[in-house]
Amino acid sequence: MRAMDDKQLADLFRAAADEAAAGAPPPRFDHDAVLAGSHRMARRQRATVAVAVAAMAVIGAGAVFSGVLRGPSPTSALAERPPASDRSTSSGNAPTEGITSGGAVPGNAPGAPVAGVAPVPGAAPGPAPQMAPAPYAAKSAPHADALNAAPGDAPLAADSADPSARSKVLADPGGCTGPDPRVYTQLTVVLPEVRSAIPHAVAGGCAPGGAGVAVEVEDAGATGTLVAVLTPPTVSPAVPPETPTQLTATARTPSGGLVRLTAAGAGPGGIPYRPRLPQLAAALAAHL
Amino acid sequence: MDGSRDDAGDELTFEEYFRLRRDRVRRSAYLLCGDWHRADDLAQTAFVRLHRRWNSVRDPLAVDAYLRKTLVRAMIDETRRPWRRERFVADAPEPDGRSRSGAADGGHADEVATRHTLVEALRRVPPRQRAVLVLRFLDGLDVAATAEALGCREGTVKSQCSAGLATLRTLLGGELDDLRPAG
Repeated sequence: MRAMDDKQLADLFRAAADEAAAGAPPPRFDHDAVLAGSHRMARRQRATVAVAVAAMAVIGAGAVFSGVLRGPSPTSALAERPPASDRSTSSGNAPTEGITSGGAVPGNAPGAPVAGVAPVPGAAPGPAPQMAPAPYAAKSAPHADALNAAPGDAPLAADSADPSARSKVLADPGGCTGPDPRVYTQLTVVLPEVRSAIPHAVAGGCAPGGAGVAVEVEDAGATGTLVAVLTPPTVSPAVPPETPTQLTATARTPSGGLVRLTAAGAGPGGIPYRPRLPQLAAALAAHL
Repeated sequence: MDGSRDDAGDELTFEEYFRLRRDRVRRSAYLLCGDWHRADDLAQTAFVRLHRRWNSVRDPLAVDAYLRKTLVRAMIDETRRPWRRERFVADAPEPDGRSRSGAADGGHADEVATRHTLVEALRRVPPRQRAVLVLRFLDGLDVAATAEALGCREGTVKSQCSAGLATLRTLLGGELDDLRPAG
C-alpha cells in the first residue's frame, strides 16, 4: 500500500465535501437570522451583566445593612470613648462651678479633680469604665457639688444591689480609672453594709498611683456618698476642708500611704457615718 | 451620523462576507458533524458570534480564522453536551447501495463510493481528531494554524492528526489507500 500525501488527502476531503454539498438541502438560515441571533445574544449578555450587577448590589447592601444592625464593635466603641481625663475635664465643669459657687470646696478650678486631692496631671489616661460614673453621677446629683460627680452621664438601669453589675464593676482595672477592687473589698470589711452598693470610680480621679472607690450609703437616716481614696506615701494630697455637708477623715496605712475617707450628705439627715468616720478611716488604713 | 453610517457600512460588509462564505462554512460544518441540520446550527452559531465581533476583526484572514475557530469549538462544545454526546464505534460503515452498485461500474463509481464512505467514517472519528482532519485537509491549514484554531499545541495537532487518520484507516479498512500523510 502506498502512503497518501497531504495533497491527495486534501483532494479526497474536498471532493467528499463537494459531493456532499451537491446534495445538500437549502440552508436553514440567512443573513437576517444571523442578525436576529446576534441581537438576541447581545440582549442576553446585557441581561446577564445587569443580573450580576444587581446581585452584587444586593449582596453589598445586605453586608452594609447587617453591619449597621450589629453596630460598632466593642473595640471601636472603646477607641472612640474619650479618656477619663478628657471626660472629667469636659463634663466636670458644671459641678466644679457648683462647688465654687456653693463654697463647698473653695479653690478648686473648673475641671479639677476631686476636692482635697492633688491634681492629677495625666494620671488617668485611657478609657474609663463605661458603667462606673453613670449611677454615681445620677444618684448623687443632689450632692454632686461635694464630690465632683459627672452630671451629664446617663443613669445605670441596673439596681444598685445587682450582683452582676457589681462584679462587672469590680472587674475594672482599678486605681483611679475605675473603682479599685482592693479598696472596695477592704471597705466592705470595715463597713459590711456597703456590700450591697455598687462601687464607682472616684469622680475626677485621684493622685498619681492612688486608688479609690465611691459608694452610696445610708446611715441612720443620713444618705450620701462615701469616698475612700488611698494615696501612696510619696504623694501629699490636699485634704478637702470640712463643710456642713461633707466631712473627711484621714489615716496612715502601715506602709505609709494615706487613706482619705470622705462622707458627703445628700439629704436632711446630715452626713452619714459622721461620728464613726475617723474610726472607719483608721480601720480601712489598717487593712490597706 | 458618522457612526450610523459606519455601522451601515459594516453591516453591508458583513452581509457580503456572509453571502460569500456561507456555503463553504456549511460544508466544513457538515464534515465536522455529518448532519446538515446540525451543520446549519453550527454555521449559524459561528456567524452570529462573528457578527458580535465584526467591528473588532478587520483583517480578512483574521475573520476567516475566527470563523473557523468558532465553528470547530462550537462543534466540540456541542459533542460534550450529554444529550448530544456522540458514541464512537469501531465498525467500518457500510457503503450504501448506490456506492456499491457504482463500484461495479468502474473507477469513477469507486471514487464516489470512497468519498461517501469517507464522510460516513468521519462521523465516527472522535470530535477533536475530526476537527484536526477537517482543518488540515479540507480547509488546508498547516499544523500551526490548526493548533491556533483549536487552542492547543502543534504537537497535539500532529498526534491528533495521526490518531485521526489511524482511526479512519481502521474504520475504512481497505476501502482507501493507506491513510498516512507522506513525509
